[in-house]
Amino acid sequence: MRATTLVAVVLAAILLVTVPAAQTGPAVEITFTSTQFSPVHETEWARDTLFRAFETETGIRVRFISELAGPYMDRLQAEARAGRGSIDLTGTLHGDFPILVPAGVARDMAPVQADLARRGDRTFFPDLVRISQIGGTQAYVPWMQATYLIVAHKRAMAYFPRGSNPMAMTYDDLLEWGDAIKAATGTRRIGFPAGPGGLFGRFLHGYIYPSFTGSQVKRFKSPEAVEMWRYLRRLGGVLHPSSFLYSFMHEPLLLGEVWVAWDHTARLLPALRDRPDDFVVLPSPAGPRGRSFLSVIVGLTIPKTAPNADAAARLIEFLTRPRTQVLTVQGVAFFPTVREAAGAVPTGGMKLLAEGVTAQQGARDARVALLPVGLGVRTGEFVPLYVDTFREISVLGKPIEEVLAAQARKLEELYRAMNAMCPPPDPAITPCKPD
Amino acid sequence: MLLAPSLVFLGVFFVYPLVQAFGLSFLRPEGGLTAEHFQRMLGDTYFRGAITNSLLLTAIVVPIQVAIGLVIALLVNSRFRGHLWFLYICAIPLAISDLAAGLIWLSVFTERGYLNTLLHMVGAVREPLTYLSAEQPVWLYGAIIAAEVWRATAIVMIILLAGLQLIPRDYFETADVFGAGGWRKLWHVTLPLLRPSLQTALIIRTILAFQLFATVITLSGRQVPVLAGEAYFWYGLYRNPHVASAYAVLIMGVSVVITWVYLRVLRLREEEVAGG
Amino acid sequence: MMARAARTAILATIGTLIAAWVLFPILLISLAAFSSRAQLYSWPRAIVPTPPTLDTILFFLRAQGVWQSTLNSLIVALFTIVLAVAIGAPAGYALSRFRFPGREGFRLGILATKMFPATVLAIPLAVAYIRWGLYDNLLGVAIVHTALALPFAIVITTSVFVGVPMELEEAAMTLGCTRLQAFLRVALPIALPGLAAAAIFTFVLSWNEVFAAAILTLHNRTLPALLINAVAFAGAPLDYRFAGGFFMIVPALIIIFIIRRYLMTLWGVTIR
Repeated sequence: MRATTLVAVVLAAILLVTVPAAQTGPAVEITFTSTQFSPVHETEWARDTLFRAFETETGIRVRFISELAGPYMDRLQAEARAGRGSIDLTGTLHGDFPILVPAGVARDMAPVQADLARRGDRTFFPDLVRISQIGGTQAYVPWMQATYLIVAHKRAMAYFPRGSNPMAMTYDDLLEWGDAIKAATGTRRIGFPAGPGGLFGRFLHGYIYPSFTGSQVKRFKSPEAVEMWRYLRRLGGVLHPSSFLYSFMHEPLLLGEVWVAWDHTARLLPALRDRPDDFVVLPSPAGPRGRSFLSVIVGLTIPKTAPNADAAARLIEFLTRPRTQVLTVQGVAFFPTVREAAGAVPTGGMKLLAEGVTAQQGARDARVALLPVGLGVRTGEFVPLYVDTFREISVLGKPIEEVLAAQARKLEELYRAMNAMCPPPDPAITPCKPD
Repeated sequence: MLLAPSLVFLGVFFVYPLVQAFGLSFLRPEGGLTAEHFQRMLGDTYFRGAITNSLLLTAIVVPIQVAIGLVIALLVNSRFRGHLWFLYICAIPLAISDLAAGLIWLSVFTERGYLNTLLHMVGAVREPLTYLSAEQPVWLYGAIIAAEVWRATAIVMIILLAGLQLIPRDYFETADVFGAGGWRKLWHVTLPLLRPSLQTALIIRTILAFQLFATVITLSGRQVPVLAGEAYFWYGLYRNPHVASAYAVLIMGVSVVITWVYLRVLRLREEEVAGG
Repeated sequence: MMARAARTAILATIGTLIAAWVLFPILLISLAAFSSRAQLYSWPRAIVPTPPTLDTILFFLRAQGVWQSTLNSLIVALFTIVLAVAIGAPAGYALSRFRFPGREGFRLGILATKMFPATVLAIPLAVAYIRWGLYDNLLGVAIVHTALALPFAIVITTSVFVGVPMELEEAAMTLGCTRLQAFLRVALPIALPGLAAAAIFTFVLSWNEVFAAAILTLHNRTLPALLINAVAFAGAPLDYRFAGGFFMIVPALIIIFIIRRYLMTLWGVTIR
């Protein structure tokens, strides 16, 4: 009896030790932190679809952590200060890198970029690589991007001004378009997301301001700006009045309340997914100073303290592969940074958007504008300054120069207090100051 | 002893926040007194609209609610057949929040809503009309007023009804003996005796109407700025608790003034009635 | 005779009109909640959806965070009831039984607190909660709801206990019970219906409260907080909004129906 028990115990002990050992995971695991994919379904998608495919291919498991901006930055900077870290790869918005570079977090990614170029299967959009140059080094490899575009219902195309190219429209074209629709149908069918949760402010500071004045902040109250605000007053006459209730433009498009809408790609997507055959995607309009648009770029960098830089580089290669970029588009509606991927998206609403993004990016007169950086805790004050200006000028009808002077003072105070640099396409002056 | 928990609780979670609201709105984040938060609030493009709208909506909604509430209370009190079911039905909005009321009336006034549908059915419109727009202020404000009157009249009604039920029948019978008709009975007997209830109802309803929030946002977005809504946006959208507190302090101040005014005005009248 | 009949007829007509005015919008939102998205988007629209569908309501319930926030609302409401009754009932008992200095002052204080609803309390408390670690916490929301409900709870319990004759407790005490035992065995059972009504009143107050819940929560939202955020910022589509409105009022309607007999005592009492 005692002998049997002894054998049983020894067998159990052996099993307890060996079975788990035999089930240990892959030999290599890397840690990837990001501010992106924070909604639950996106995190799950990233883990189940994206990183599982990588693990199957390379045997490297990815420990993916999505964090809020505050803790995310704190962790990276702490590791840089300590000289030792656990994060192998990190991906976040362009706006975080001007902090990460001087903090010693971001490594120069030029060698990795060169390796990728050598593969010959992917062409990064040159603008994006250029923008990733911060502080003399390439701060990140461009991973994915989002932007804001115009989506028009096909029935609206009949009213587009003859002789102009919708894929290269100007702001004057847009106004004429709205007028034509109004004259023919008696209704106003152009819509902007000017509700409390809408991104209309982005249109104001990143799209129309640089298209008319060549800058977001510097020429805030210039004569060109006054011209622009006069234009916006006229545009108000062809805007659907419910624009002030819209946060996301996909519903008004599907309802048919609005025939021409401008919004973030993610907020237009549901309409395109639902009825891809009803809509066309158009690049944003051009003004006297070019076709300005915001590019929300997410970049990948390997921290200087990364334990396993080689594995991290392999993940970068995987994520920027055209096929993976197509997967990413389908998964989370973030668009590719390589040209080959844009064309490879399967037919449907997503393809329309992807092509629109590429068309906007590749336009001859394209001018990339970036989100303001360096404003720290007061970042939330930037957009309201522009939206309030719109309200005072277009809704309340106050005199343009007066309003611009007052708002410019607030802009100046904001930038002076935070000692922040002007956002491109403004010249890189610190602190930024409207003329 | 038994009161201790309540006192402590209210002390911490009522008095402290009140004090803190003042603190937040007058202090700089780094320390030191400042008026800059109030200056920002006053200089904000939405401020003038917010205070005007809050006062305007209150001034319109409260009298209507008191009138209708009184009618309902009198009807119930007259104990006509089915008055209990009438009471139950009229009490339903007591359990409806201002957010739900906003959504309910949104289903009526939105472009693809029931108002346009009804108008279309009777042939009055072909294309849906837009009501909830600043370009249609009558409709926009009308929708908000309709929603708020619909929802909160029940509160006034219940208070007045409770007050009515407290009035001893003798008063009415005496009036009948003296040959007073319906209207005179109402004006000279019922209303004066209802004064305490009216006062309470007015105070409570005015303060709450002044702080109307979710209904307005649901129906108008920010096209009709209101004080409580601005506090919400400054805290949640602009992430500035200081200016949000300034709005809260302003709301508090106006509420106190309103209460004081009601107490004075309605008390004075009582003295007149007693003396005259 | 004629005048009487005419008067009754007029009253009945006014009554019916008012009742219809109350019921009609509820009917409309119910119709909307049972219309499919396609029906809600179409023009011209039908008022009555044919066929009615559960899709819209299901879509809402399955939408991100809705079910969780409903549970959160229930949890907060339960916490609030427990806290409000536990803190308020003793005070109500004391006010109903004892005369002590400061009694009137206390009562006036209770009345005064009704003047400062959620909009004034929520923002400073949010800042304090962040310091105390109570931010984005259901208990924190319940505490604020308790603060809002406590005045009503105290007033209701006061009048409830006033309605329980002192003699009964005194009789129990002469029979050998301690004061606490007398309370638990004699007063409490009689007061129970009234206390239950107070609990239900508190539930409705907590379930419906929007402002404080929206300010004090980020990830652990209650249903109203989720909805106002979806409506104001997250561009909730029409079917979501209508299903949300419907879903919010259904429990409240059921409750009003159940406690309809207590309505008068409940709300009427709170103002005295």
